[in-house]
Formats: sequence, structure tokens, C-alpha cells
Amino acid sequence: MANLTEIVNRLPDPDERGMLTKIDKSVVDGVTREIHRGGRDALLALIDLLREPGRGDDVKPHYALHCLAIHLGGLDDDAPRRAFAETLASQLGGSRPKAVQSYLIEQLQVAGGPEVAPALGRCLTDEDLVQPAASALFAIRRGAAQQFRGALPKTKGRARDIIQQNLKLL
Amino acid sequence: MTRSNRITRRKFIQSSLAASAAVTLVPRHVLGRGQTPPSETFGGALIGCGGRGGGTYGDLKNRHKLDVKLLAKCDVKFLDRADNKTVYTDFRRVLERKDIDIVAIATPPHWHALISIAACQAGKDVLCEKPMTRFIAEGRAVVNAVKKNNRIFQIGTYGRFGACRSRTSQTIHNIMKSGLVKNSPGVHVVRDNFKVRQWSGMVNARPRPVPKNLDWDMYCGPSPLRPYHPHRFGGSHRGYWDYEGGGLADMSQHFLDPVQWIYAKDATSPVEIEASAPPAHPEACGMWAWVELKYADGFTLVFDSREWGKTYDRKKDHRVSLDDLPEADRKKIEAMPAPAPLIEFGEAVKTRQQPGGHAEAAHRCATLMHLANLAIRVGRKIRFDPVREQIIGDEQANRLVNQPMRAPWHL
Repeated sequence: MANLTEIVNRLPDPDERGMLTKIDKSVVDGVTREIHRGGRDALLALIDLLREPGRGDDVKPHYALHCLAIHLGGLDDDAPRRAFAETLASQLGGSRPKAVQSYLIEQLQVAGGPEVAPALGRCLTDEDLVQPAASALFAIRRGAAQQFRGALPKTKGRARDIIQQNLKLL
Repeated sequence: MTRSNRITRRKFIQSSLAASAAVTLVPRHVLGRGQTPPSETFGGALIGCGGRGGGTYGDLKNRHKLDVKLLAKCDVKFLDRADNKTVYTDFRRVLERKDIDIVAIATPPHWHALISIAACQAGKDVLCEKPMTRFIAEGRAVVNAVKKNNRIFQIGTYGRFGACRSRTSQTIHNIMKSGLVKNSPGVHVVRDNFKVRQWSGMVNARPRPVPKNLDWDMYCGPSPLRPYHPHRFGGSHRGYWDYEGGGLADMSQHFLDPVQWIYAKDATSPVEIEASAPPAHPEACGMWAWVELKYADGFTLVFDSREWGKTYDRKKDHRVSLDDLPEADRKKIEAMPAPAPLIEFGEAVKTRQQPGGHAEAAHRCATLMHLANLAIRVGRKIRFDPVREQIIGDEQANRLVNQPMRAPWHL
């Protein structure tokens, strides 16, 4: 596989207003498929390119990760989607910036399944990640209640309120 | 007549409505010359005082001929001047007021459902800007709240009121309503004016300091709390999935609402939806070419933006007409009475009959644009169950039907 940065850079640039109006679907689809072919290593390299808002330009890696999440969610074979979700989940709770972890959780809301519920559950006790993790668990549903119940006694204040609300809604 | 007497009479009338369908109006002559009966004088509030606020509230008087007095204005950008007497930043304080009867909602769409529901629960009638909702499950929740609380809800678009007076539209309406057409050849293509490029979102916005007069947390409300950027606020909010759904969501309810009435689709939704579009961005609404929505009876609705890619060319427009039917069925249609006239919001408020743009119709219309955007966002054909209101066989797409809300907000 060619250098990941070079692949991702083929994605369209924003126009003068900062919008993706000059966009060739075949180019975006091609980039997505190539990253997918690169497997776990390519995905981790893509995650390495993500930045916190205002701390560098990650417009194209940000878009590429979501395109991949959507693409894998539509395949007949569920194994690639599961592998994608498990890779993202493995990057939670470590030293990556919270804003980057939050974005990974948002992509798990898009493409994650019950296999990542425990990893999301561990994020429920993190003040910075509790809301996106709760939203992702709500969307995934299967395995969510167990995670909410497990985290509830370990939390207080806003985090506790979020967990209690989601338990009620489930 | 003193203010306390008027309130007492209004409370009496409202509580009577809860118990029965009959409405007791106090005739003007009972009160004496020059007096306005309590049932015709209303306390009003405007929630959302941005670009559409004045127009939406103005419709109460100008279009709906209601004698309404503005008692409260609410907006999250009033932090520097809120007095919680006439100027508010929190809609919940507005809805606590007993002297407010009607609420005009002109916030960005991600707040429309929650405020509409809360207003119904507080005993207010609602005039709500379009699009009605941000996602499908919100619409059903609003319909349920309107029904449970016996309120009047009207969406702020009025094309159907003109369409329903056209003889041709009435005939099409009766044909589609009759059930005689099992596989409709009807194709209605809506072209242009979707403002796709105009209402796209920025993908490279860098965070900016929050303006001092803006409650950004409250603005985001049920949507994710993102770093502030002026493009996410004040009109251009239309370009973000968090608050709206691009030009498609912003404009479609105007175009589609009369079409939905004409083709008698106020109580159902399409079953197959397919879009031609590039892969969507996770936060910013973007370009698309067309969306095709097919109903169970065969009728097809198409949105053709003509702002990206190839223009739609799968099917040609085909207006439904009596020519589509055998002679015997034509006679049956011709014998049907004309559809009942649609009731405007003002009349609905006074008589407690449902208005022409009622919650179910508005929800089904908003569902059209939500389904269209769903097909754009997942990039594949989707199937929808219009009874259960769920996507069939595509969990990823179905997660967008009922989207999580940020605590403490929830449906």
C-alpha cells in the first residue's frame, strides 16, 4: 500500500468557503477502498493523523474515517465492520487527546456494535467522554444497559445524570 | 372585564376542552359593545428570534388573523438582556406562564420538537417553523404530544392551502385516496431551488470564542456540544447535521407539503429511497444530485437538485389523472365529493378543529426529507416501514431515525 498520507491527500480540498462542493465520488470511494485494503495498520495510521479542533489540519483524515465507517456498515460481511470497531475501541482510554477519542466514539456510534460496548462502558467514568460514550451506547443498544448499570455507582454529578437518563430511555 | 376575570374564563374554557369535544365560545354580544371575548384574545410568545422569528410571529396576526399580544420573546442570544419578564433565554420559563396561549417557534430545527412537545404539555398551541424536526422519531413524539394534550399544531408552510382549492389537485387527491390505483404510474419531480451549495457546512472551521451574549450550551441543546464557530449559528446553521440537514431540509417542506396533500400521502411514507450523492461528511451537509422516493402504491417522488453530478433521468414526470383509470373507476372518482377545505391555524385555534398543516401531515412531510438525507448519508438504497417508522435491514441507517440527545434533553 502506498503511503497513507498520500492516499488521504487525494480527497477533495474544501472550496474558498470551506465547503466540499467540488467533490468527485469516484475519488472518495477509491480512497476509502484503498484504506480498507490496508487493514488495521492503515486504520491506526489514519487515526494518528487526527487532531483536536484548532490544533492542526485533519480535514481529510477526519472525513476519510467517517467514509470508512459508512462503507463498512453497508457490507454484507460483518467481519470488516467488527474489526474496524474493535480497532477504534482499542484506542480509547489511552493517551490520545480527548477530542480525538470523542471523535472515535462518534464513529463507533455510526459503525460500532455490541462488541465495543465494554470499551464504551469504560469511558462512562470519564467526564470528557461520558456524553459521546452514552450516545454511542444508546445507538448500539445491545449490551448498553449492562454498561450503564456497571458505571452508575462509580459516577457522580453530571456523569451520573447522563447515565441515569440513558438507562431510563433504554 | 378585569384581567383576572378573563383568565378565569379562559381557564374554564381550556379545562372544559379536556373533558369534551364541544367548544364553548363566549359570544361577543354577551360581553357588550367593544369587548373582545376571552376566546378571541391570546397571549403570545416567540421562541427563536433570529431570521425567521419576526415573520413566523407576524403570521399569527397577518395570515391567521389572531388577536394576539406578544408577552414574551426568548432567544439564547439574549444573555445580556434577559429579564425573565418579557425577555428570556430559557424557553421553559416562557412556557410556565399562564397568560401565554400560543407559541411561535422559530429556533433552528434541532429544538423544534422538544419545544413543541413542552409547549403542548404546558397547554399552549403551537405555530412551528419548518422543517418540523431534525430526525424522524422527533416527529412522532410531537404528534403524540399534540394528540395527548389536545392542542393545535400547525407547521409554518402553507402551499397546501392553495393546492387544495385547485380542481385538478382535488381530482388527483381523490384518485390517490380512493385505493383504486394499485400500482400508480405517477411520478412527481421537484427540480431546483434546494439551495444545496448555499446551505452546505464548513469542514475546516476552527473554534472561535463564544460571544458574550450567547448561551452556546443552550443553543446546542440536544445536539452535540461542538466548539463554537459563527457558521454554526444564525442561518448558516442549516449546513450542519447537528441542527438541520442542509438546503434539502430547509427548503423541502415548502415544496413537498402541497405535493404530499395532492397525492393523499399525509398518513404514510415512502418504502424505498435511493440517492445519488458523494459520500457525506460526518458533520457538514454537502452536495447531492437527486433522491428518488417510492411509495407502496407505486407513486414516485423525486428531488432533483441539478447542483451536482448528473441530473435525474430514470423516470419521466407523470401527472396522475383520470386517464390512468378504466372507465368504471373514473366514474367512481368523479362521484366522490371534493376534499374538505383545509382549516387555517387561526380558525383551528378558535374552533379547536385540526388545521390543514397539522402535526401528522407535517411529520410525514418532514420524514420525506429525513429519509432523503438518510439515503444520502449512508450512500445506499434504504427501505422504510411507514407503519413502524423504522429502516428495514440496515442498522446503520436505522440509528439515524431516532438519534441520541445530549443530556438533560430527551424525547
